[in-house]
Amino acid sequence: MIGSEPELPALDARLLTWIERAAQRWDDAGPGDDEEAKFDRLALELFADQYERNTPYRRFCRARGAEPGRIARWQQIPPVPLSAFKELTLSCDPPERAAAVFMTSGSTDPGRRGRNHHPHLRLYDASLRASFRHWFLPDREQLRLLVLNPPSAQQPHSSLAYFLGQLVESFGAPGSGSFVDEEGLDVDALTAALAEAERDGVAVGLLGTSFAYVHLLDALEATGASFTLPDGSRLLDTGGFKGRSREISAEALRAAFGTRLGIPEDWCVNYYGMTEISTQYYDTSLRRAWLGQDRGPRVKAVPPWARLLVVDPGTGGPVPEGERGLLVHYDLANRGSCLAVLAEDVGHLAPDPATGTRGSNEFVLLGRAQGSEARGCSIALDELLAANEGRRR
Amino acid sequence: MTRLPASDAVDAFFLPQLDAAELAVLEWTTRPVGTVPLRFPVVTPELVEQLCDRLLQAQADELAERPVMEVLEVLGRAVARWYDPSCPQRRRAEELLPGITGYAPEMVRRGLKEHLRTFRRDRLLRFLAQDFDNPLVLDGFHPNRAGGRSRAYGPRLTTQFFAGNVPGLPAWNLVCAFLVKSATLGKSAGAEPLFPVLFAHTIAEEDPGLARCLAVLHWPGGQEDVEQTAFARSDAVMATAGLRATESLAQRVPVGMPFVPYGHKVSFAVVGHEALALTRFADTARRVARDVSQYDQQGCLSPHAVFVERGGAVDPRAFSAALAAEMERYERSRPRAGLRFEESAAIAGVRARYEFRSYDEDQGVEVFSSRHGNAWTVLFEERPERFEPSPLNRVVRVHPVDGIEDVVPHLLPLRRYLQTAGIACAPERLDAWASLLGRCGADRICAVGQMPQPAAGWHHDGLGSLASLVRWTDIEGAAEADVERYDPEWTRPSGSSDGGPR
Repeated sequence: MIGSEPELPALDARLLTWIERAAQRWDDAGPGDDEEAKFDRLALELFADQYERNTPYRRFCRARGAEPGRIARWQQIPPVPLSAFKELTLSCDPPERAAAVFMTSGSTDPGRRGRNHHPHLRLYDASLRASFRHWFLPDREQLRLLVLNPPSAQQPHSSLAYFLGQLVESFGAPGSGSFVDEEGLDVDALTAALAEAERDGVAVGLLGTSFAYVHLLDALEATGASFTLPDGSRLLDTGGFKGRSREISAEALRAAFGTRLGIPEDWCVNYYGMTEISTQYYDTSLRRAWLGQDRGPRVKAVPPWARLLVVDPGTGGPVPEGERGLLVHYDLANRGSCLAVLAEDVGHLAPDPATGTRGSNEFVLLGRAQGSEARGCSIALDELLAANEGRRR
Repeated sequence: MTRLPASDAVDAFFLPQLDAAELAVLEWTTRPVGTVPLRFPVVTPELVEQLCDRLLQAQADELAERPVMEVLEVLGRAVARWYDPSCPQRRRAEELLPGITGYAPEMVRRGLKEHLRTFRRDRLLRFLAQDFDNPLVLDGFHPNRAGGRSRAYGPRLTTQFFAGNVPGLPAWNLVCAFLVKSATLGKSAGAEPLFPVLFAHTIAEEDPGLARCLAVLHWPGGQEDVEQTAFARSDAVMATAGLRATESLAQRVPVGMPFVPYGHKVSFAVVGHEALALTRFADTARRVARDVSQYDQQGCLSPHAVFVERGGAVDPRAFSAALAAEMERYERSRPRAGLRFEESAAIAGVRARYEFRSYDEDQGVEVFSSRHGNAWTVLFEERPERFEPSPLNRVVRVHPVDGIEDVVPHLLPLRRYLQTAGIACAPERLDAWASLLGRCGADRICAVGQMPQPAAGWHHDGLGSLASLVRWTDIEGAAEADVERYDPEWTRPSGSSDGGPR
């Protein structure tokens, strides 16, 4: 694709330049005042463009009295809830001209899948490369990447498959590839690759969903196999266990990565991403360990081209310092739909490691907001809905 | 008004069966419910065994042979004490329940008062009359229609699982058990464990003997050893609980023992075109708003949806706007309880979904909602896929219909869960509507505006509140005639030959 791409529209080109430059000047302590002002200007400009060209989003903003010129700061840009990506076509450009349409898996309701339209993937690519390099590959240019996920060709609408494929393309050393086909995870091929890496002393990076690793660990446990992967080996996982029969805590999973694969805890990195945005948030553990910094609590970092707010679901306003709330993403790379997205995930901001106060660009992800479960009769609603669903099937 | 020091926990148990020394050796725990710290004994199978033995003894001594009308008078007098604003237990309830539940103080105050009206002395008579042609069958054998005589025996001891979603609800179950002369081992709800304790104290002031037939405790639901011990000594189990808890109980209640579950129910309202006349629609909207808002829609009696008939002076969409205005008015005087994170997120989710659908005119969707925060939400939806339960906390859907027949398809999938149907229509349509709604599964037809207050004696969830607890003993008519043969006067050996049956 590279090289044959059409010229970017002016705003997109400026966003791309800025993201790439921000990535080069990346300061783990967070943006300075100057960077903050630039982010604000670009965010408001992108908002004005999306307001203009994304008809349902314009209507959403008008209902909230928000329009370009009437809002002064990025925090005032109305975030769209995830359900908007299911109910509406939130695209600035004609959807049929999109270079990619990424869809949610629809694990909760297959009939209603969220869709995010991308007129091109240049910003998406820039975002994914910069974050991966910064948090997962600070020490080298390339690494043998073993992917526990189907290749993109097999899942053309999966942002995850695209993401992992791009990583292999950009950073994969010889021997990289996917170990999942139509049949599922090819455990034999993967264990052979691990044994080879162990034998040859070649560091590897494993990439996949948390659940895919459970399959691998189960298989290793069944045969009693374990590896001590060479220094510099690392592991990236994402996602939870929604709709799966088994749930394993992140801590238990990391402990198993240590005993079965020989990867130190800090070199096991979890990232948080979703179809509806174009940025990923990584654990800071690997980079910190590489820099020789104190380990500290496990947190995720917000990259320079994004911002995160933690809001009260009742009021939509920010929660008091340190309290949990729903996450709102402001993502300059999410050019094709809406830069401001209200997630269904719960988290809280981490205290600034330097000052111990608010204003941190790090946060703790706590998981998905559960459905209503409350006093008395309402406890039954889920049960009732389940009964209702059962009847329909 | 007395204020508790923060460190002082409130006793949330009622155990008149135990003396001070016996109470002192129990293990105790304190835990905050809402903002109120409550003190509970830790419940063990041994404690339950001891209590059941004493409850059974108290029932034999105090209740089994006491005339039902005497029991009724005691209950009536106990309830009457709560009409007095200075009644200590009522004051305690009004002081503490808002903190425990989060409900607005004014709503708790009025809600309790309105609920307890259901148990005035004269209403208690209706409970009896609803289930028994002659309530004296609870005291002795009285003629039945089959030509013999019958007596109804309540359980000696009933294990009860109380509801905690709406303060005051356990009064219904307690009263029913007493009226059939059953002692009660009551498990209070974790969300609101205090009301049954306060109510029990009032009964104790009125009649300590009767109160010894009642114990109120809290244990974590599903604690099997405790519940098994209780069931083994009880004659009946009555439970207000969710589907899963009810299913779990149903598996563990011994076969053949009366099990009276009041599970989760869904209620709704149907508004006919007559109630949308220019002179009526605002009042109808006010009544519906009250039904939805009372106790933040937490009760089974609260409507999830309102079906509004087309063809009135005001169309269903305009009615939704009127309803929204009344929801706002109710909120100002009785604000909804603060919500937990998940509850707020659920409301935000459903609001967003409907808002996006409303962008497409063809969808026939409109969202009316409180301007700030999520205090109330009215979702107008012309073509619902199905009857969708509300996430509660004052979220109600309005669906237009062309007649009562249009409502039926929405009700049928939920027929096992339907309960109250609030209706507003012309008198000549009442019977037809009630027949149809009853066939769909509704077990209570009431006026819109009265949904939260079931009338005394209602066949709660379609069952006889008292009848479901009793078992019958019949003396056959032929037996009565036949025993005449054994009248000693006839069987006495004697030389006399005149008289006597041949």
